[in-house]
Amino acid sequence: MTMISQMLGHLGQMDLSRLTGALWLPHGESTFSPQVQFLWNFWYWISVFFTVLIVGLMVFFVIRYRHTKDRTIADPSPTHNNALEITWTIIPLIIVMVIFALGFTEYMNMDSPPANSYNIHVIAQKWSWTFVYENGAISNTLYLPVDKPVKLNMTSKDVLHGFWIPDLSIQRDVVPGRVMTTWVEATHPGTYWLQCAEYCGNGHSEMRAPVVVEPYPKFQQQILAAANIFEQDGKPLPLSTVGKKLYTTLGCLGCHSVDGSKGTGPSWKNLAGSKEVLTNGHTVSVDYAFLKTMITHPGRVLIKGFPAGVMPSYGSRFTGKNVKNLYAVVWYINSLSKYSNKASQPPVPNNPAGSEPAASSASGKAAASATSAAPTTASGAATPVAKVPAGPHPVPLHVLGAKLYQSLGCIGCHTVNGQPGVGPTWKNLAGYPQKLTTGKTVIADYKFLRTMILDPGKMDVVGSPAGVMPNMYKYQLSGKKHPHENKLNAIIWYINTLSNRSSKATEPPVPDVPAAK
Amino acid sequence: MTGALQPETPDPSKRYGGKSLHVPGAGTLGVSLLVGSLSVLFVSSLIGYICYWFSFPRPVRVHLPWGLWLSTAVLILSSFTIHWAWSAIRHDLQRSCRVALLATLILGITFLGLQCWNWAEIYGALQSADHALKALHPQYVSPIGGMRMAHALIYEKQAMFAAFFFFTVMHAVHVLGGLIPLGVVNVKARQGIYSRNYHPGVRYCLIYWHFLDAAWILILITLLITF
Amino acid sequence: MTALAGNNYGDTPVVPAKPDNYLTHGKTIRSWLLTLDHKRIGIMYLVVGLLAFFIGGMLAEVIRTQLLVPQGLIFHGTGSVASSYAAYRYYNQVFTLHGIIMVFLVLIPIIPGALGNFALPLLLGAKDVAFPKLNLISFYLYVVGALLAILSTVLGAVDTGWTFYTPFSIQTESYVVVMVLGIFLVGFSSIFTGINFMVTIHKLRPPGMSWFRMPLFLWSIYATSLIQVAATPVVGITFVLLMMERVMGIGIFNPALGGNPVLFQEFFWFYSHPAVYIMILPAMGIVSEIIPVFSRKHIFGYEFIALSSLAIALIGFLVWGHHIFVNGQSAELDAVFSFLTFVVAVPSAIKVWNWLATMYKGAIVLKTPMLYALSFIVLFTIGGLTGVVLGALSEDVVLHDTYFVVGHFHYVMMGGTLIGFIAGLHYWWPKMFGRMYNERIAQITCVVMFIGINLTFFPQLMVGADGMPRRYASYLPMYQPYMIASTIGAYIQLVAFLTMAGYLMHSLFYGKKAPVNPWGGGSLEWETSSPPPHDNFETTPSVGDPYDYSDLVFDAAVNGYVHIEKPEESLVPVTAPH
Repeated sequence: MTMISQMLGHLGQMDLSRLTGALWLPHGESTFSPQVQFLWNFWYWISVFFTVLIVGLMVFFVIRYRHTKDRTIADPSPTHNNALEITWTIIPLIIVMVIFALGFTEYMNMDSPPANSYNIHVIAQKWSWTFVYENGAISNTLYLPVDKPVKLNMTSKDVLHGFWIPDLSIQRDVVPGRVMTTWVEATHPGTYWLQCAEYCGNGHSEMRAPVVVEPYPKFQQQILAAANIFEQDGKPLPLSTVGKKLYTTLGCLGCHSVDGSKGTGPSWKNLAGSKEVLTNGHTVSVDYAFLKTMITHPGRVLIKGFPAGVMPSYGSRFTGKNVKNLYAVVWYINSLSKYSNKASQPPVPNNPAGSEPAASSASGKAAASATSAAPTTASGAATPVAKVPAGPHPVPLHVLGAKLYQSLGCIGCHTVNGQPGVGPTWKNLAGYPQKLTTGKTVIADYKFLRTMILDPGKMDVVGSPAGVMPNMYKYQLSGKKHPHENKLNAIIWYINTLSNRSSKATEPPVPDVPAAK
Repeated sequence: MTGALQPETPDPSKRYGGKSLHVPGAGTLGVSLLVGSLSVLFVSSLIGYICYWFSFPRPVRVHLPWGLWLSTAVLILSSFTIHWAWSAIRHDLQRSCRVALLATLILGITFLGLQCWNWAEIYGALQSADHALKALHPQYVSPIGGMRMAHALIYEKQAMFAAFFFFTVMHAVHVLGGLIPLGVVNVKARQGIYSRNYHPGVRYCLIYWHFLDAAWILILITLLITF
Repeated sequence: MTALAGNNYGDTPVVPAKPDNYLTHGKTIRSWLLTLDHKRIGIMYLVVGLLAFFIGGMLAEVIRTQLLVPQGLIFHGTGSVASSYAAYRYYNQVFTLHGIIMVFLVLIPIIPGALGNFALPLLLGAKDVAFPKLNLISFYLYVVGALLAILSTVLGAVDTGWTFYTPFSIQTESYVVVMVLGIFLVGFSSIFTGINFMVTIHKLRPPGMSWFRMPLFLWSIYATSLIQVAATPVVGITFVLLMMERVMGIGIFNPALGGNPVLFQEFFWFYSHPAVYIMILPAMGIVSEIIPVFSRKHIFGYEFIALSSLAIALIGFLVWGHHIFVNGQSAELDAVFSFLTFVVAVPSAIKVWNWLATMYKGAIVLKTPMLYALSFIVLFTIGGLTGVVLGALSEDVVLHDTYFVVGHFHYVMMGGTLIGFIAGLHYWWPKMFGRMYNERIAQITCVVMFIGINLTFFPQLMVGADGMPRRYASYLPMYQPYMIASTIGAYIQLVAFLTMAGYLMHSLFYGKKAPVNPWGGGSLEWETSSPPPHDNFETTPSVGDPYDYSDLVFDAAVNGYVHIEKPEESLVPVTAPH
């Protein structure tokens, strides 16, 4: 009975306009949509015509030429007619070629993003979407401005995912190990759904994210607000509340329940402070140190009864400057447990207004660094990327470099806080000796960095897998189209700001801050 | 029409209640189709490997064992001997045919032996590279011995070795698969079953052996270019 | 006496004293399991294939029931997101198994394996296929492959989807290797069957049956075999690499080790797209046989239908890229694949027009096989036209991996291949078992089936265009009305299939004895008794035009068609070209 009432309930929510709208397709709110819908309608009516023609002829023949007692043999008629055959070969051929040409031209448009696009980095993982904006803000909702082209640089942390927004007529697979791009220009404000289209495992069908399209000023407000998760209305939030937010934003909810029900990973209900048996037979008490290990190095130990290799490595999200995220999540886990005790709690108090002043005073800065790679200049002063004005003042190259770090997808493999990633960390990279797989050791100077970025196949540093880094950057950063290598210099300046051995030899040949006009 | 279904000579394996379907030319066509099918297998995997290689060009040099040249020579020689067997039986030279078939069999087994030696060589090279890495990185887990690669330090070398093993083992499996019918044909030739007009087994072996030869040369060229 | 033990049937046919047919020829289980008789092997394929179809079909009903409500009716969580995900894993296993069973164990082997094996030598007037032993080996490879697939399900069901896309298939904790090994063996079976049929058609055509005098079913089987022989090795090698990837970590498809997951997709579809034509071409062949017989009229445009089969087979090799338009391959390459996709659509259209022209001025008998053949034309037309829009690049972007694709390929696979198979089964049933089924019930079942299929898959086209992705265990509530309609359709299909199983089983034991030629077909299988004797033909049949029905009239005494003396001038000379 509950099932039937549920079904009726959902029927009530049915949006009839979707049924009758643009002949099955959603309305379409991007610049691609009109063309896509035109071709769809063109195909649709041609199909209706041919279906009616074929079924009509069939039914007519069946009735007109039916077998009866008086009519047992066929009327004499020819068994072949080449003119007829050629006609019904050529006509469909012409029609499908028209459809091909229309589809192809629009597709080429979809394939080439305009130069002035706003960049958003999309990170797909089992089973959540994370969006990183130019100002370093992170969100699980995709905010898009109206009437401004947005280029989406997409990376996957684990398996194939499909970036699919039906209402904006865009779709592209997100292939792990490379940066996939697509672009979109929304034409109407509204809220739509992003759904994962490429099968990716247990949570595939729930891997969706809301897409909020807003006018540009409101869009900017939204992403500024999203950049700061540790505060609300200027007041610092309790860490467990922040942890609850992170539980959703970072995708923990995909595997860990908070009500004790069984998931792919252990439930967080009554986890902190309890005793768990590991796959190696040991029994451990779930204290802060254990939780920290499980979150930052998920492969190291494994609780019995749960599959190995499922949890993605969150790496830099919880360590270094971002250690506050770890405190927040562990506090949240503690708040769910009746066994919570001093040993299972993080070393900072839950309430930032409490005795530990560092927690609250650092929260604003930590928020920015939690979400982005805040570049530290050689002098040690933090530069919150979120607040860089894009106005007429000359922007230091390293700030541009920090932006490119995200938009070009470097963030997928290189950390900036010393944590190991797929590729070498950029922290203290410039000026330090690097051991190559050939056995040689070289100092990471400007020339070395430039070679590694533009032609990653040329040499390999011991400790990082070869062949992972895309070799397309030479087209994006150098070559005929980029004779001044401005972006490349920006990235190398940014790498320099992250190292305490930065020197003349490691810096690009152009100054960091361009001379004011 | 019944004439078409008559065997050329009495079929000793006539077990199937009068339904002996020795159709002239059917066997040759069947073997040719099988060889065509297997050629698709080799050519497509070589193309796939080359695509893979192009997308990740590596400057790493892995030295191919020189024993490959020896095994190549042996395989080409065996192709000549099987051809000799075939032309001998077409002239009803029973003795030459038997000798040539036996030579082919021995050369085929020699080829497999040489390949084993080559695998041992390259396995040794892989192992010493592995040891060197282990000395350098204590956390490195050896991928050798069927274990999953925990760390991909030398994955590209790994892929080269994997490609070498993949193609040579795949080819060796086909050689092994060819040696069994070749043995049967050897026995039948000794029994004197084959004649100038009836020697299907020899013809099938001939087609298959030429295919093995061509496939090996393609593999060798690809390995030489990419390594 | 078993088939292997040898018997008195020599090359000189002897009229047996009491009627002996292939079903009664040897009664031991061994005489079935080790038979070299193509008809018995065909029947064994039929039994195993239908068993697999039953399992796959029940899994489909589970899928449809799950999707009745947005959060899932069978597999759903207990409130938390994590518990839902854990439950959805079972749904993923169900649709994976449904796909694998239906594609590899039903759609690909069932028409060539069951109907092809049974009918091909009969249509040729031959005693058997060229290599009877190879035929039996093919069958057992198929059975062992199927058993391995079941074994992997028992050990821990695979949840990769039938496409086994990397890197998910490398990472997932289930018995992918066993499953893939099973499919690998089924692939071998497919290659051997293809070789066998091609050689049979080349070498066992009776004198007078030139290439353009063959029944069209043989043309379609020939084109199918060509694809089987040339494409299947590629999927074999792909699956070997996948197994090596899982067991040894060679890194070719694994991005974590620097591999290229898209390469797997290229390899996989290089086989799996031609495999679509392995599935549909034999069904088209069956329809090309049925339409002229039940229109009592010579097939229209024989050469065009025959050559379009070959054209589909050959161009079909060059369109695999249209499955992966959104995976980031270069736009120019996409354009080439899109272009060729449209080119391959045309030969299918040619066939439909020729079938319609065959019906023109015919004397159409709406017996069950004809009803299914007409259903095929309608359903295949819808399936084909929805394929056209998927081939258009900009449209594929908004339809890729949605239920529109699911609807499209079910119209082609279910409405095309399976309906074609069912049409062929009803057409050759009297010949296979020597019994008639209840015509009226069968006709009603066909109409119910037609309604069920449309009700199941048409809403899927609509909901997919509206944006619902495929392989979803749960969905947004706005899609629910379509999903409910689709599920009702699936239940209607279930009723139709159960009814069909009922009346066919009934006919096996209680059906009326079938005449030699119940439908008035002109091809050679209707020259021998129903069911045929062990050696197929007691006397060598004479070869004429397989689509000439002018000398066949209905004889109420035998309840079937019999030959009459034809007027002298209409006799077709045996050796004259068509």
